[in-house]
Amino acid sequence: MTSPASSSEVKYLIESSEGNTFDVSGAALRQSNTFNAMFLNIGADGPIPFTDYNEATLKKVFEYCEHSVNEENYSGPKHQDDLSKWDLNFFNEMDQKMFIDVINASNFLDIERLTSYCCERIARMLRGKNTQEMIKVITLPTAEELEAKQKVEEKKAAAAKKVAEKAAETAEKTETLEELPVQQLVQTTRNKLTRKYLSFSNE
Amino acid sequence: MSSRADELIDQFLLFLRQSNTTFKPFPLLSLPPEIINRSLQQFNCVDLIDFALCSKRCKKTVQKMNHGVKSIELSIIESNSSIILKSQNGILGFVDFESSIPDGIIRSRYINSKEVFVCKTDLFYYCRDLKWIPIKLMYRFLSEIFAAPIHVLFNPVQYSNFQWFFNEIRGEQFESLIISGPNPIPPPILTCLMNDVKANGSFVLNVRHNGVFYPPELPSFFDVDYLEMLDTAEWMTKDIFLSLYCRRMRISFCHLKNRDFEQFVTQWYFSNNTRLQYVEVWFKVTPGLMNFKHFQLHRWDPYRRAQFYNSTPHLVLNCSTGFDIIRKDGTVATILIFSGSFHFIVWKDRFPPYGGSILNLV
Repeated sequence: MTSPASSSEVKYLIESSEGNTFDVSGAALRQSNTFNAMFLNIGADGPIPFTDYNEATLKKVFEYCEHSVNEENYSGPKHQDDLSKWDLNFFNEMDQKMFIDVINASNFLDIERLTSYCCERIARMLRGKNTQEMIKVITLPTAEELEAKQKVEEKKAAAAKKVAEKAAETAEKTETLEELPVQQLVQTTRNKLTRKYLSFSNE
Repeated sequence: MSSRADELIDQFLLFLRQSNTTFKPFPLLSLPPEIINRSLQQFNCVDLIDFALCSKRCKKTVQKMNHGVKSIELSIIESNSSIILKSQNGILGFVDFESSIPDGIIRSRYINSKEVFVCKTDLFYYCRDLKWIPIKLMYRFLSEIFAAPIHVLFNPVQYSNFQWFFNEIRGEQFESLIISGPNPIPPPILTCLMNDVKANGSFVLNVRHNGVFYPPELPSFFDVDYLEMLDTAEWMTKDIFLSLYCRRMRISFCHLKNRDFEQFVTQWYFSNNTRLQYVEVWFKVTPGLMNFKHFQLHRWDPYRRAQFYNSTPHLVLNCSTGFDIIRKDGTVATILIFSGSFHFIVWKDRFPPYGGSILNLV
């Protein structure tokens, strides 16, 4: 099924993290610089594993690639206002989790156009906002949260210290317990040897 | 008609959905660094300042990204002092301290543990404090986040209104310091500039002073890259002149004597100074006949060096009447003496490109 991409009609099999495979056209796949660097010249035997990403994410990413195959050549980042209705729909259909997955996949696959649109969309979330609003958007912990986190960490550290101390105590005890029989053994062996030596010398 | 209405409704719904999503929390800092950088590159500088104030990590992110800020310019002028953030091609943003704030919400910010009140609109970041002008606080913070050199352009009308500024910049280092203005500069301020402020790149003083002025023994500008003092260097002594270690110098209104110039050339001839490129001194009083006969002087040879030299980016000097001296390392220098000026050119490039208006000196 897979072969070196010589024409746009060639289909490639993509394998997702679930182990499922699906078809992607060569033209769409060639928008990924990562793919170009890895498989374009040598081809691929069997499905191409992109197992860090789930099927839904990969399908979404390649849906974008398939759509943009027929568009004119990409010329730098576009402003969000210049996006077509299809592009806007594409982004608006995604929930946040999917959007983040698509960004990560697009970044890994190095799909220039999709990545730049995603970045533009992220920038739009923060552009023009003041510091407090930015903190809210990027979900930075507040001072109170940081204080609470620090307290929890201190408690954890104290608990860990206690556990370590206890472990050290028990280790000391076991050491002394283990040492006793060894000393006894040495002593008894020494006694036996002395007795044997004495009996031998008497003979 | 109905399809058009549907389309409009669709667009409106899209806009609503989009505006809702923009206010949702978004874990930006958990994304790959390339994505964070690329997203932040689409911010303007004013937004980057606010982003850097979010947290230490945000500040570090801005420091590491390609923000395009190549220089920070402190423009100190009457009632309108500001900081201008510049790229190679133009202006990226302003931090304003004194002009009236347009309608907008003023918020409190803590910059390096000090509270200031800010408001931003487009490329302007209005920064205020009730008691003082927080210019030092801001340029230090901007220098931290953008890691760009600071240039000071000081153009006052009344120097008495700028005592606060001299108190702020005492002991500071800048890339360049350019002082100009219509009124004479008071000697205490000139002393402060020569003693307490350090310029690394260029020091330009294009303002007259109030007559009596005693310069420090070794002014802080002695080793700047470019030194320009037009209409103001009456105080220049021989010792200061000989101690200058600049790449290019343009000085005027000097009382230097013929022996000072002879000594200057001799000092260069017997030194290993590879920094000096051009010296231009305009006299207030004619220094007297200079004697360079103790050097082996050569007339201009078109095969040895060019005829024209750009003394400034727009002015060209005809060096065909000058005498050349050749140092032991092979460096060629030209001495040009006119009735009102002395020029000393060290030919790093013996046939440099030139362009501009030719100076007609006699």
